[in-house]
Amino acid sequence: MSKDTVTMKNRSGGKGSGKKARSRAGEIWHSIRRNKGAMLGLIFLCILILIIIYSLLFISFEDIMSMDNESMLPPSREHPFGTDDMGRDLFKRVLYGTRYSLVIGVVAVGAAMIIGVIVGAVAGYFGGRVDNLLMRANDIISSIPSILLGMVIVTVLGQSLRNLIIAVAVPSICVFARITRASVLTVRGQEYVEAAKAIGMSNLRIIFSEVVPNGLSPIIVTATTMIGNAITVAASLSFLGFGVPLPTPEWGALVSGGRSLIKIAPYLSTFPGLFIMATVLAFNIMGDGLRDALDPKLKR
Amino acid sequence: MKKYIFKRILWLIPSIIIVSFLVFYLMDLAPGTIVDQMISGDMTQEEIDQLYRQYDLDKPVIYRYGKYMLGLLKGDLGKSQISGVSVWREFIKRFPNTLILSIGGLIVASIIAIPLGIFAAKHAGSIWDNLSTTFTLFGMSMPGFWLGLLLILWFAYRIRIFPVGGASSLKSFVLPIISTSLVMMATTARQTRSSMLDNLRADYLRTARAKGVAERDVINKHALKNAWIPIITSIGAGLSRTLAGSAVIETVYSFPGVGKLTVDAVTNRDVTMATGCIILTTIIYVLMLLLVDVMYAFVDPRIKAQYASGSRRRKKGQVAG
Repeated sequence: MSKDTVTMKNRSGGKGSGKKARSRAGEIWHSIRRNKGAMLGLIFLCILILIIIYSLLFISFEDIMSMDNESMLPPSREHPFGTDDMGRDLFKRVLYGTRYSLVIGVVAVGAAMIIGVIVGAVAGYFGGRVDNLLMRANDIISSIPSILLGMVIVTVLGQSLRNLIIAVAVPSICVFARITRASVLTVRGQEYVEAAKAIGMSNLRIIFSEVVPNGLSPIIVTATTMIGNAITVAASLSFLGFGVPLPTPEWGALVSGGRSLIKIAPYLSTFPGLFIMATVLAFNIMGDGLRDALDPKLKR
Repeated sequence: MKKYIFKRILWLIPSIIIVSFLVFYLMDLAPGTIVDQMISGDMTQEEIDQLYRQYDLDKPVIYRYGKYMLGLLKGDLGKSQISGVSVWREFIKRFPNTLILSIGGLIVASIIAIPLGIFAAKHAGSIWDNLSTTFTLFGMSMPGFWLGLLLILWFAYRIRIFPVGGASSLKSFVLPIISTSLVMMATTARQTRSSMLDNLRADYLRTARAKGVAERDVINKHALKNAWIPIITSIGAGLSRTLAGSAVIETVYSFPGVGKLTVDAVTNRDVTMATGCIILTTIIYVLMLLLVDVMYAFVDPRIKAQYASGSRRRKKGQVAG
């Protein structure tokens, strides 16, 4: 009787993968928890999310635009990061700007990952002409340096948050496509794919339920570090004047705003830059932790 | 090998056509034209129309692109729509500056990163290893423009040993080179460490030690030789990335290189200058990646063997047989 329930459960879990997947996730979580750097990164990200929630609740756009204070006040108890040349409180502006960097990083990489994985999986699975065509297109796009491509995209589409995300995402697609293709190529010839073919599964289903999940770990690790990279690229584009339109307090734009005043008010570009670096660092060490956690070579 | 290089260079042609089409077409689509910036209040409609005609703006984009491509076929990248200078001449004038930044960054990065990576790998797990890992993580995460500003603040305004920007003296290259090298340094040190670690664990090193090879030679001759390939990849990728990233660093330092030229051209909607710069940067970028690939073959005989033509392999097989 009990044996029957187990089988039933397995069946309802869909190929019995439910329990196994959880235990694998649990294993990964366990090794991330043991990795000090990864935990530190995770904690910092949680703090950033709390900052976003706080700024959504308590800091309004009017707040960050208010010019009631004296201008160029150095950091003090009242204004922890000082005030800018227009008398706006930098601390509030930096906290308010947290949402942009994080949203840009996560959404751009998320979108790039979805498109890139589809492109890479299709190319790797079908091979031949499809593969050739997709990968050549990929080569051509990735041969344009990403910052230059981003600049052109923002110029064409106009300055906005959405367009900045597109500008950051497009070059990242190529990275995901290449990695996915490589991992699909390694699993394509495996017996379980042959088996899936033999039982008459459709190509699409084989790709996304058999092939992609088995090549997922490098994709996840790349995605994590790519978020850090995307945040840097977005901030760089903002710094060059191709970011979200002013007066949005995006971090890169804040650094750029303080640039001409660096001699008299260095804190204006120091603090937002510090936040960019800390956020990118958090994603980088998380990526490192995930790599260690997912790398079978390092296990046990 | 030669065939492979030839094929890769041949591939540049469709790439250039597509890249130029993308950039030219996209830039042309962008709201606002070059003429909009020239129009002043006291111009008559006729004068404005005249300007439009002068820049072929009364004709479809495809006409302008066709004209541009015809010029490109003859090796003419056109003239800047704003200053009227030749795109090619301006690019070539500024390219050495950018090259010095990239190569300088590469040298500084390699001199520090490779010994650091080897040291960290040799003492894996020690406090020195942790310190170097922390340093590389910070280096990787620091946005170039921010580091640039901090360096300007400290070394140009506070201590005043280097100029704020420009490229007038040798000294003005120092800060941009440091800014360029940091990310490369960090990634190369990490790559060196992990690649050395992989090799230090390998069986052939145990063999080398067992047969009595001195520890220094074990590292320098045996381990490093095999660890080179990923390190070169990392440096090559870093070098091409600094070329691409030169736009940011050069803007921070108002440095007269091709990166700043491109940024200014895109900002001012100078379609021919922007397209020309991006095409040329892309060509250099692709050639650089090709150079890295070719260098593998020199470092790794296994890869060289792959390139060897089939006939040669057959001959060898006959000899061996």
